[in-house]
Amino acid sequence: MVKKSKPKSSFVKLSSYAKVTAYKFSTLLLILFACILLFIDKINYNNISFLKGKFTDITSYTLELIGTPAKSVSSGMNKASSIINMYDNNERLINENDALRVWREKAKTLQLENDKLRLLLNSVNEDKIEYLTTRVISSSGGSFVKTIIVNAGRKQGVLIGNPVVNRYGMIGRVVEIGEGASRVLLVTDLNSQIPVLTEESGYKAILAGNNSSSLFLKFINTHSVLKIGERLITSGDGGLIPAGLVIGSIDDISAQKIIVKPVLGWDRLSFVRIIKYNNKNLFYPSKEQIQ
Amino acid sequence: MTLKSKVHSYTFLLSNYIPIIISFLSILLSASLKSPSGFGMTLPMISIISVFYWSVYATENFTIRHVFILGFLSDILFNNPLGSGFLLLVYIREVSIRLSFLMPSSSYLMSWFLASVVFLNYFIINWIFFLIYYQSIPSIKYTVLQLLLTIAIYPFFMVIYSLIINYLKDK
Repeated sequence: MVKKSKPKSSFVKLSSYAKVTAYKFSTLLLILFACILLFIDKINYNNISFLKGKFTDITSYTLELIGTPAKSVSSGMNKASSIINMYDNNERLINENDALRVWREKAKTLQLENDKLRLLLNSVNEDKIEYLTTRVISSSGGSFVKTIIVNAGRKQGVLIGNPVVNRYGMIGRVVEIGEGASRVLLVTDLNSQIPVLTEESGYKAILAGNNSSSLFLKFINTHSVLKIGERLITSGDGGLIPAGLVIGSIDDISAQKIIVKPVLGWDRLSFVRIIKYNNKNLFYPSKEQIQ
Repeated sequence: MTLKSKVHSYTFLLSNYIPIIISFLSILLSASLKSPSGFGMTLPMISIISVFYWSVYATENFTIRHVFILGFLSDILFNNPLGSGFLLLVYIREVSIRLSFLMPSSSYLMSWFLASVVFLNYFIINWIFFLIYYQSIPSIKYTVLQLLLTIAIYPFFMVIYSLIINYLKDK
């Protein structure tokens, strides 16, 4: 009896030892693989970006499906809220409509005047900008990364770097594209840096995010005179983003930094517009030219 | 094989995958939700809630490969550097397993307290990681907000997950 049980117990011991070793080995292997991925992501983002774009495409379909019940609840609540506030909204819209009629007439006059002056100066007409309205299917929801996924990609003609706007101004730019979905890096993200211009005083600077609801200005002339509330617009430097898009307004000026408030509604996004901006005149120097 | 034994064997097979399936769906659902206005798009981190819970209460059914899948999914969905999610979740798993002996299954309050400690630990390490990786200081305001939201929502997930565990045990 004892003799028979001996090989069995040693086999059990061996198999449990093999299990523990395999577990440790697979853990080590996965950690090593994660470290390699992290390293590649850091040194050569472009390689990983392609892979991420593919995965974004795959997950976007699932996200649309899973998000349907949540969206139905949210739209139901919005409808209920709009019914409750119907009278107030109607009053507000009538007043707003009157003001907009006045503005429309002014805009028409200014447009005519602008066209005539351009003709007189023989100025170069800028390319017409094409918009693409898309739905937001996912937001990062994290405190370290501020991105959203929209349901338009390469098939719809979206390009990397295309600016994304809501009805108040620019809220981000496309950083990853798949076939039918793209990822938008919001202006509030830590990695977002956009060349801007102060609208009235005309100073150039870089607008950077820090994962909070405020942005700050970098590389601005130390002798610049700025006003609180002054709007910031894209400068168009670099040629990736068209000039003149409103991106925020100055909120606070201190000795250390200039804090900027992003445009309204940057954190309440259901639909956004992608500006299909393709600067054909953009000059990409070759390696030989750089050398 | 009778129908009863067939159902039993399927349930047993399924129970091995229940933690990963539920966690996977929870993360996907959290990615499709929108935060209320004023929250700066911040939502609770469902991935660490799932990893913590299943590591403590279903260690055998929640392996390192499952953690890898969840880490990879959250990296893709939330645009974190690839691999970072897995490394941080492995840390959570190991800490949770070591703390599991302190958590009797009946004490929800104790579980909530220890989960809060683990989550705080995770957020500190995550913040330091991003500081080193991006060489820039991320805002601490929304990190604290996300930590508080995660701690606040943990009891809800704890109840849902424990109901699933109890259902599977009954089967």
